[in-house]
Order: sequence, then structure tokens, then C-alpha cells
Amino acid sequence: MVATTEAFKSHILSEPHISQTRISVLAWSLTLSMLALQFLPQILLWDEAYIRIHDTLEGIDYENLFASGKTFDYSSNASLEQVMNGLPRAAVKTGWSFVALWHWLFGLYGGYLFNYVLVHIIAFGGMLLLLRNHFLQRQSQLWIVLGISLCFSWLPFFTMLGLSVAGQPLVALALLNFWQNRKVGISNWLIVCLFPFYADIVWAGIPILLFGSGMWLYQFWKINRINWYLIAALGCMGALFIAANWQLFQLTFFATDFVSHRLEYDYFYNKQLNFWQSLLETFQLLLIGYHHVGIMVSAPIILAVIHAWKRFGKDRQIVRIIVILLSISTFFGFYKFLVWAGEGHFVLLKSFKFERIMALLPLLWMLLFALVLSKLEHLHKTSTTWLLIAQFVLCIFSQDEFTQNIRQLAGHPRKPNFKAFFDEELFTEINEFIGTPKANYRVVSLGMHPSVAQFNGFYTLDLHASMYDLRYKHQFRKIMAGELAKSEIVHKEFDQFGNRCYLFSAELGKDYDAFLCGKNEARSICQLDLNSGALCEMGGCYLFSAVKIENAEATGLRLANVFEGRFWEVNLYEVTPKEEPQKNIVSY
Amino acid sequence: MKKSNDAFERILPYLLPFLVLSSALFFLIGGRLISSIGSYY
Repeated sequence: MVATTEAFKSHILSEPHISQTRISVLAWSLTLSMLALQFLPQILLWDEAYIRIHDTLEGIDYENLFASGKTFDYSSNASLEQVMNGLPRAAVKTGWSFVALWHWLFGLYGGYLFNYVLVHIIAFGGMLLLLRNHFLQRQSQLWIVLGISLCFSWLPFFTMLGLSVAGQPLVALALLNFWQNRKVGISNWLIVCLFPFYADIVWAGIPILLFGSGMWLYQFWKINRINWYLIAALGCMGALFIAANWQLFQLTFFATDFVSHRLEYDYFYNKQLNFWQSLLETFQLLLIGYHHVGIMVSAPIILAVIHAWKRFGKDRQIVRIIVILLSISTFFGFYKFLVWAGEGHFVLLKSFKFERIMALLPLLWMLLFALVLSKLEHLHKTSTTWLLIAQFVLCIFSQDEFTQNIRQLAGHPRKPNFKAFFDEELFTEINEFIGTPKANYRVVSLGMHPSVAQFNGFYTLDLHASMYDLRYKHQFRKIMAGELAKSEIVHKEFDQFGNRCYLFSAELGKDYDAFLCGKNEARSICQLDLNSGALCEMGGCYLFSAVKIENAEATGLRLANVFEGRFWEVNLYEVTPKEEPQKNIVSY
Repeated sequence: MKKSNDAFERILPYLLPFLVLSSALFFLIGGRLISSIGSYY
């Protein structure tokens, strides 16, 4: 043991300054090339690249905001006329966001790509700084730091949520500096003050503030000292999160005439109170992560932990992170029991979904990996290298946008690319065929996301929204009440969840492919029970259907024309209710 | 290279490729086993 320690010390002391060696240059070059590699397919393909559809292209809030000109208009009567007959502006995302800024400056694709690149670069830089400043400071550990930072930067972040997950290492760096009362310079304050404008309050704000408060409490309990710096930093961050998302608080707590559709949200619409199911979800979260946070197969990290544990026994820092990881995963898996027990007393349990604290998992996994590899590096250099490479390869495979774009480049796409998804030429043709100003009528979509019509300037009754008026939901429901009655799956999706205020069909279902009915699939609906009178009452004059409706005439629709695009084949149906009701475009 | 006596160290070269390949296959076939991520891959 003594000999090992001596050898270790002599190794450290005799170590050359690696940053000036060829190895260091090679390591940096290789890492930066690997970092840039993930952007290459999207830059090469440009607007023919695939962009994630789920919670990204299916809801184009910023484009709707910019089109309405109400981005910073938070007055109570401000509304977006082009969606849902006047969706309150306050129900849409904040304008005080860097993501909004990039979209405003560079448009939807350019803004998305710029944000995507920036988020991944900040993830890399943040992790690098955090590890170098607080965890792995020896020069010989540079290659571990670079490898871990690279793995973290390759995680499939939901970049529309900004730096919610990717920026956590930077925030952790600042909070740790405040915690240790060191280097409390302007850069730490900048991180704390800018983060709320580049992250989501739900996915990042609440988890980080909770965790930061835990850090403060722990320090207070251990050394009985009040850390004013940390209080000020957390308070500052919390206040700025509220300021940046003020419209959300205004609508939730102060609006008197707005009732959110979330009032009818049933937390258990897709969950069961089952112990084994909860245990499975706990392990699933531990082993592959969560899609909104970034899918990450953690098996190499677990192997490394087992490996290090056998060789070196317990390490307090490592044990602490493992305990936090297991606690958060168990909390996530069994949170439904807490909601079930406390729902009647604490409404916040259901509406705030505190289980989202699991957004901290990728950062914790990477920290654990870094600490474990730093233990193994001297005695097991080969296995350490292979564990790092294995984790990196798994990160590449879990990067869905990268793998889909490799498919695009290889000529075997599985999903529509950006250009084919929004297909401006196709919708210009449809607009010319209709020949009426878009503001004079409303449309709904079937078998395709309403964001496609919205992107092309049509006024839609349907929307993917995180918040809208409950009265509107009830009104919209009348259009497809017959379909909801036929299928429990779509009934649950709309009545108990409701964020997709879409036209559902029992035959198409509610899965992702129900709204991605491409022309090659040639799907059709045999029996659509549509209340065309209710649709017409809301101002709906046309139905953009990606599928053929066999009983169109009987349900009050007339096939006006069929348009074929890159991905879609749009059947344009005119709404022709049997008894012509008085048109009534309802506004809030 | 000195041969390690650690059993773990010995099985790692076989275990890691198996792990990476099986996970890669999982993503390539679409991750269909887990519905929440099935739509991405």
C-alpha cells in the first residue's frame, strides 16, 4: 500500500506538463473533432435534416408568437388569433428567453440549429470547467475530463428547453463556488443570473432550486454557518426565473377569467398504482434515463462503479452521489404513491410534478463516472479507456437526431426531414386553391400535427399546448365526441391529458405515428364520426387530412382536392354540415 | 502488458463490446420495448 502511494506520488511529481505535449494537443484535437461531429449531419443536410418532432416541431410556439406580434405583450387581453380562435398570450412560452431570441434572429431552422450547437458546446465547456475546478484537477486526468465532457455533450438534450440539462454543470460550478466561498466573482453571478433566461422553469428551475436549497441546508446542519452567498445566489436565480416566466404566474395565480385545461388533468391517466411497475420505472430511469432529460445508457458507469468498489472500497464522495442517484430514481418511480396519498391536501404535488427532479440525473451520472475513473486510472488504464469509449459509443447511439440524420444521409430516412415536414410549396398550393385570406377561416388537421398548418400561416383550431382554456377544450371536444366514445385510448389522451388539442380518430389512435401519416403509408379511416356542425360553429371551414376518409360525405365533409407533397398527401376536405349553423368564432 | 489477476478486468474486454452492441441493437431496432422512447429511434 505504501509502495503504491509512493509510486503514485512520484508519478505525479515527475509528470511533464501535459498541456504542452503532443499528447495533449492530440487529445484536444480529437475531442473537439468528436464534439463538432454531432453537428455535421445537420449542417450538411441543412433544412433537409431531421429535427426531433416530439415536443419540438409539434409545437412551434415561438413562430406563433412572432406571427401574432405579441411576444412581449403580457396584457390580459393579448391573444394569438391564429391559434385556437385567440389563445391567451400568457398561456404561451415566455419571450424573455435566449431560445426565443435565436428563433427570432435566425428563423425556425436556423434558430433551432444555432441553439442546438450552442447548447451542446455549453454542455461540453460547463462539464469541463466543473470537473477541472472541483473534481479532477491533476493534469494527468485531463483525458478523463475531456472524455466525460464529450460524453455529456453528446446526450440527446431537448434543446428547445435550452440549457435546462446541458447548462447544469455550469450552474453546479457556480453554486459550488458559492458553497465553498471561493472565486465568488462576476462570472458566477453571470451564470446564476443568465441561466433563468436560457432554461425551463419546470425542468431546470425547480430541480436546481430544490437541490441548491438542500446544499445550503446540509452546510448549515454540518457547520452551523449561514452561507449568505449561496442564499443570495439561489434567491437571485429564483426571482429571475419568476421574472422570466411572469406570464405563467400571472395566468396561474391572478387571472380571474381563465381556467386552465389542466384542471381536468388526471395524473394517473397513464400510470398505475403498482409496486412492481414503480420498481421497473425506477430501474428504467437508472439504466436508460428519461427522454425529456436525455436518454443515457448508464451500464458502463455501473460497471466502472462495481470495478472501482471491488478495488478501492468505499469513497465518501462516490457513495454520496450513488445515494442521491438511487434516491432520486426511487422518488421518481414511486412519486405516484405520494400524489395518490397527498393529492387532496397538496395540489402542488400533482401540478408541479416534483419527480422532475430527475432532470439532475445526467449530471450526477457523469460526475460519478468521472470520480470512479479517476480512481481506476493508474492501475487499470486500459479498462478505464474502454469504459470511457463504451460510454461514448452508447451516447452516440442514443443521440436520436444524429442517428436519424445518418439515415437521411444514407438515403434511408425513417422520419420526415424539416423541409418535408413543413412542405411550404405544398401548402402554398393549397392556399392558392382555397383562394380566401387565411384569417377568414379556420382549419383543423387529421393524421398530421397542426404545427404544419401553423408554420404555413393557416389559422388552426387545434394546437399542441401546455396550457389553454378549459372552455375551449370542452368546445373542441364536441367536434370528435363520437370518436372519443369509441376508443378508451384516445378518450384518455384527450379528456384526461389534453395537451394535444388535436382532432383524434379512434382508428388512428394516439401514438406518434397517428400524426405522422405519410403518403407512402396510404392510410385511411373507414368510419369517422365527426360533428361537422360543431366544427363549423368554431369557424372550421377546412380539414387538412393526411389520410383518406371513406365516409367523408356522410360525416359532413366534401373532398375538395388532393395535394401530394414530399412527405404528406393532403386530402383537403371542405366542411359542409347538413344544417348550416350560424358561424360563431369564439374569442376569449 | 502485465496480465491482470482481477476477474473483472479479464471479462471486461468481452463484456463491453457485448454491452455496446446489444445497446446499439436496441436503439437500431427502434427501442420498441419501451414505449416512451420508441418514437425517437
